[in-house]
Amino acid sequence: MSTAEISAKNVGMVYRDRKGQEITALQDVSFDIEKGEFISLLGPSGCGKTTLLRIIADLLAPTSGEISIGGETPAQARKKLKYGMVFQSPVLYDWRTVRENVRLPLQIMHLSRAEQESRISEMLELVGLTSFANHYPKQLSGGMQQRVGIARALAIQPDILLMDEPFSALDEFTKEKLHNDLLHIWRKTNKTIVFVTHSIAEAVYLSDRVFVLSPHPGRLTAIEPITLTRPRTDSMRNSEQFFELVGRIRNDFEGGSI
Amino acid sequence: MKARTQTLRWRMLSVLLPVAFLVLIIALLQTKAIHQIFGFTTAQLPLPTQICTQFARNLDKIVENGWTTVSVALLGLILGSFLGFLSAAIASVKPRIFQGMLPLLVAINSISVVAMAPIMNRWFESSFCAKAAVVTIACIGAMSVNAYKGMNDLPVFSRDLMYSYAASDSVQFFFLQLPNCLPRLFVGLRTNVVTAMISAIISEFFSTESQGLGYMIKTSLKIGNQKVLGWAYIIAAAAVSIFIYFVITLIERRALKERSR
Repeated sequence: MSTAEISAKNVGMVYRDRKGQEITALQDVSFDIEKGEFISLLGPSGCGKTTLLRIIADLLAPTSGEISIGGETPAQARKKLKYGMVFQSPVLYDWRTVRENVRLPLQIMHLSRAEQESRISEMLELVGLTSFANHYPKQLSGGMQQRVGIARALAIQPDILLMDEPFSALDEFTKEKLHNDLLHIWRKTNKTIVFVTHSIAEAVYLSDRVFVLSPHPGRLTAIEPITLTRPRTDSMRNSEQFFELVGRIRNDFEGGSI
Repeated sequence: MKARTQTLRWRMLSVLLPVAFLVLIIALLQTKAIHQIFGFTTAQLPLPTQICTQFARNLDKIVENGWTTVSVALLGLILGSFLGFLSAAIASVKPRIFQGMLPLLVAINSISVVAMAPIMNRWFESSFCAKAAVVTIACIGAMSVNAYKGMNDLPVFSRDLMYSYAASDSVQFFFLQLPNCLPRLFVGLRTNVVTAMISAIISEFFSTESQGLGYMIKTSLKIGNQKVLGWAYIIAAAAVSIFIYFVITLIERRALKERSR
């Protein structure tokens, strides 16, 4: 019995397109993710990284192989609300204030009003949006909206945070700030994080290990441990070690480029 | 500050422009400019002052008949919109049922009021019910289509989010689909205000009862010395439509205030 939080064994995903031709989105993917790890799924579009995340999240069922979430199936884990999801767009409801958006999953969970309030203030504090609690999503910047999304995902107190290119729509400066915010949140909450990205630098800066995925067919071609010390700081982005890691991962992709 | 004065200016313009346009039309009618261009006599197209005089002289009759029409239109508007909403809600939760209902909805929508009114007269003994039934049926389609769109044109990933909360169909409906369709409900309602007034008036053409704006327009326009009165009734019908439309727009602004910030 492995102690892994997330464990994949020979996971494969085959689609049929409209002409009835088989397309292999994922082939024979196996890995173990330990509790509290920060893992990035890195690769160009078409490598199946989002597909893999959606399989872990029980949003898709693999056509072969299996995923185990601490001994349970993804469906069981999802129904126990073990996943906090953060998507490419913040998916905030524009008829609800920041506070009410974070409240949404807590209402669905039928938590007591007092419990809702305490979790909301804790989460807004964590993402630094306490003073924006009564704002509507449209009044916030893209970066702030995504922070609300993270607060909402963490409010259900999940074991695992699944993030699908959450910062891809943001500008470089906001993105770098949110990297530090996310690492701070991760350190405080000890969640296991699976983070999908197509940016090598982003993956290196954030992760404990980077899962390198290559396309056609999508498969796991390398697992790169990131040896940068914690906590990560902005100055590391210019360090030789950082560039070395980025270079090595770039070489993991076939032909040395993506 | 600058932006605020600008929006204020826009708001004033959005009121002033329609008013100015209305005044212009009235002036063109009163000075007989339009009559000269199209070669109309005042018997064919009465002057605004003539219509106003008739309006004032017959105010009690206009109010009485107007109320008859409005009560029919409002009842039908509410019932029809509710049924349209209900069909959309069923369709959103159980798509298969909707696929069976869809041809029926299309069929109902394509029956014109002219055909429906005489049929409803035979179905219902009370002419009030017959007229309200016509309006109800006429109002189902627009609301159904709009509500369905609002319940199913959801923000990207919002269904995935609900799925990750293991939310049931009913939770998804009340927390996501229902609030999401609110703006569309108002689109449906506003469309239905016009539909309701028109179908109420036309159904009065066929009614067994001799009252309502529709009946009065039809009979007045036929009788030589009452033609101007017919125009007064037409103006009344238009004014009532605009008023109800305006009230719904006000409610809409209140209800959707937070979303438009």
